[in-house]
Amino acid sequence: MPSVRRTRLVGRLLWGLYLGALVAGLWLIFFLLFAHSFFEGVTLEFPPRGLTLENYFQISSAFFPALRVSLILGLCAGLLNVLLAIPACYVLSRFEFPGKDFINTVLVAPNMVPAVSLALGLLALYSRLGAIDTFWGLVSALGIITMPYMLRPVLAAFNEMDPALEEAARTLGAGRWRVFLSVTLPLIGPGVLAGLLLSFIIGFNEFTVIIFLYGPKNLPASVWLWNMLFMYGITPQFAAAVAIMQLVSFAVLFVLVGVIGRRYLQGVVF
Amino acid sequence: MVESAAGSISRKRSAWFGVVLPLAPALLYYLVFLVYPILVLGQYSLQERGGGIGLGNYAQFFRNAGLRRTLTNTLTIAAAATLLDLVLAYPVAYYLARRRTWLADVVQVSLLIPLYGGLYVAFAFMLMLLPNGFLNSLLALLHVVDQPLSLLYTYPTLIAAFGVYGLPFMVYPLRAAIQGIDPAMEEAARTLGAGGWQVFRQILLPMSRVGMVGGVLLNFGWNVAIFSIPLVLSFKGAPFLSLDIYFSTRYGIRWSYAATLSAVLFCITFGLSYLYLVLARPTRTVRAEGE
Repeated sequence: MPSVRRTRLVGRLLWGLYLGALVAGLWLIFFLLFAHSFFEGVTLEFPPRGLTLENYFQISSAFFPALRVSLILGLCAGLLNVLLAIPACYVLSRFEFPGKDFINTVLVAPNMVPAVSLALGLLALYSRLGAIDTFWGLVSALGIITMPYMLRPVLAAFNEMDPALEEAARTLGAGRWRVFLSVTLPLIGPGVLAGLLLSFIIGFNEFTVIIFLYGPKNLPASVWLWNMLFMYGITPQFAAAVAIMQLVSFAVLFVLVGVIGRRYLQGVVF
Repeated sequence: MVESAAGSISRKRSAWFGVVLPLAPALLYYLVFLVYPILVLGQYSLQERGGGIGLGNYAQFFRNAGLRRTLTNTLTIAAAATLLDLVLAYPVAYYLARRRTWLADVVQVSLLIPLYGGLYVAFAFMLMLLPNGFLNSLLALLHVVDQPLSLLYTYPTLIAAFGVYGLPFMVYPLRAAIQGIDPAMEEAARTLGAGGWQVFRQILLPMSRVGMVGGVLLNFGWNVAIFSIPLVLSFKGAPFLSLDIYFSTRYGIRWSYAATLSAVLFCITFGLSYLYLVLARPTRTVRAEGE
């Protein structure tokens, strides 16, 4: 019997080691970029000569307008998705109708299309419409990319909710809007918020589609970062700008996971 | 179901409004910003240089030695990364499918990191592998190497970065497949004296085969289309379809050329993802009924 227990212990240790190494590797992506933003000096070297906050003050002033563009774009894409997703998910969760499977597949289709192909198609469409470098053009493109990440949590929230609550409110004389605002919305609220935050994170950091469609009037931070890297290589100021982007993303991810809960993240990728 | 029970005509009509009207905005949005752009791509790719319409661009694509090399390189790197992910992801997927511990939660959340930031994955690899970067300094400190290793613009680095970025797209399908296997099977095998390796070889592996095929399809389709990582980490001699598409739009767009490449890329990724959905559907339905 002791030998069985020992094998179990070894097994558990191996699991811990493997998963620990994997998690550490994934977090290293974040920590390396973050740590380098505090390094002293003009070029990046490891180990650093010293630690400083100076890099954050030396970020080019052009970064902050770009950061603002990214924040607004991510938020607007998320809000657009909320407006489109709530009615669609309501129907998909409550009714059986012919073609439902097909629509379910169509709605995750943005995940099945290469971002580059979609971007080139949108570039063709936008150059016909004169929509390149327009705010609404970028929001619409980001909305499509992030829509599947909005639909999953909202659909999960609708599926969790008991439809009898709505019927009870209707029976008690509440109108459709009243029922929606004071019964349905509070109950699906966490799912909607989860979808909004997830859409925001992905829209805020989106790069591939945007680099085809952006222009000087609407220059998001992710593209700005790439331009800086292309022109100057990796510098401590660049690392500081990346660290700010990462901090925003992680703050949102923290709210998403810590406050709203992980259950809405189940199966977010297909 | 409530709707079908009440079968009167007015009820049916209101059901039609109730179903179609709320879905219409989302579907219209998809039609304009997803379906139409892809159709436009198809249209451009069919416009031949002479002015006719036909498959000439595609014929040229496969006849052109440079483009064939680009395609081969893209597919090879994507396949290598998929293989890497299959090996890396299987234990993770198993753990996530079977255990509900805090560690499972941490892993689940950590898997979201590569999801939103291909660009950051590429930056991090750059920082890690620069001649005076993290890895080389660490190895020098430990006296493993005396000359910095030049790892940055190499195939293994590209494959590793692809692997990190695509990992969630292997873990989730595998987890779904393993969740579909009754844990009693494993327990029965163990009771009959099978060791961990035997359980894996004779129970888990055969029963999760469909899930593995699904994961490979999904992950490979995703890998083929990655753009930001090759943009930062690729080098001369490692051409990528997605990069070719981007650079052909920079200085005077050659629409039919770029559209043909995009259409080929679209067919690979969309086809494989669709196949994945078809494969995954039965397991998903079973799971939904079980819950």
